[in-house]
Amino acid sequence: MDRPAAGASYQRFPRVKIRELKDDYAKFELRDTDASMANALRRVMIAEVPTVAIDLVEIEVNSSVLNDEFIAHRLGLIPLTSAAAMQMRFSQDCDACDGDGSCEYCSVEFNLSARATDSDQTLEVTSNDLRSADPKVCPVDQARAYQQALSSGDYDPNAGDQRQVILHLITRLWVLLFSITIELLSYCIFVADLRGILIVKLRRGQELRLRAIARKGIGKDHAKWSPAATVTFMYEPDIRINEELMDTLTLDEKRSWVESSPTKVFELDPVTQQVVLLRTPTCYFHGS
Amino acid sequence: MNAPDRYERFVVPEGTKKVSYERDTKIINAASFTIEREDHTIGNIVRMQLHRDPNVLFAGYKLPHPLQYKIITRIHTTSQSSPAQAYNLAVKDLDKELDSLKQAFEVCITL
Repeated sequence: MDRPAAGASYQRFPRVKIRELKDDYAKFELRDTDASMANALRRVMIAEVPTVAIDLVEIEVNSSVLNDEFIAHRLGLIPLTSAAAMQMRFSQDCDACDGDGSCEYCSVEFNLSARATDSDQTLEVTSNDLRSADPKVCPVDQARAYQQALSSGDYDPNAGDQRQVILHLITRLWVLLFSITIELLSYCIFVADLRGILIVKLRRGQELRLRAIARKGIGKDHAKWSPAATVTFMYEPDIRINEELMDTLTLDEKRSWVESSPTKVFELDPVTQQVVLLRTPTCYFHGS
Repeated sequence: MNAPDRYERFVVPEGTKKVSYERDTKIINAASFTIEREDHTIGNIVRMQLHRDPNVLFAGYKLPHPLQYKIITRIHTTSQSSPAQAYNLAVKDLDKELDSLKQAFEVCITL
């Protein structure tokens, strides 16, 4: 393909600056590109990043109060650690398995066997009861509990919170700032409660035995494969202070004006007694 | 009842081309590209990139129906370029821009 003229490339060079990065939360600024790129990133993060989730459930025994497909649906929604997803193949593309879509390259097998013994206590069947054939792919809270056990008490209280990624875009043409917030899947694990995600409750005598196959998929196919909890982006606001009007206020009025904002956006410079914008960027709307 | 299966959104069936091209018979230097099994994610980003080319007089995309998973991009150019050329250039530039975005992320993450 011949180019129309030498050097006729309309490529931009986006810049990224990460503000916060945790296990399940990230906030970053994106500059020198436009909203379509930020939106495409957002759409891809929600719908097209591949993960692993339970897709096929064979139930041997189910005498619980929930019916088979109800339990299968709940199993599908359990988040699994998907670091191995990039190496796996989609089961429709896999040629190594003999047509049933479950070989070692494209699927992971799980087993669950629970029977409520003859006691009066209700047995809660949780994701901790899911036994995986591949230790790399397991329910997320199992992995978390395992990590906690390994580190034996060095629990990071921030790791369980929801994370937000804010992407700020600054275009070349306009000084308006854009920001993108992305909230990745939150584990919602409370420090004292590591029982796992509840699947079903069993009464005395009820039993649940099944075999599940987890496959790679994307959010477009079914929301269980979506890795993101929320992904948002917003333009960073461009705040300009009307200096003329500001000069008409007394020092006390300026101080109360600065303090009236719920998040610290302005500060009163003690030397010049002027209201200036806080230099370190924070989130202007919810102070995180 | 009439809704297609969910995997139809991204699986191109056998025999269908992913991208097809139709010249406009009535206007010179005008053409439509039909991309199968794609949506706004690709459509909007290619359209915005086409707008940045001064040789492109008109660039727009639409999804003819939300249950038909394809996009139609229409491009008119000046006589100095052709729709296929403009489209190729836009896609190549986007490719490079996304590569540089990926590198920028990787630099950020390793820091």
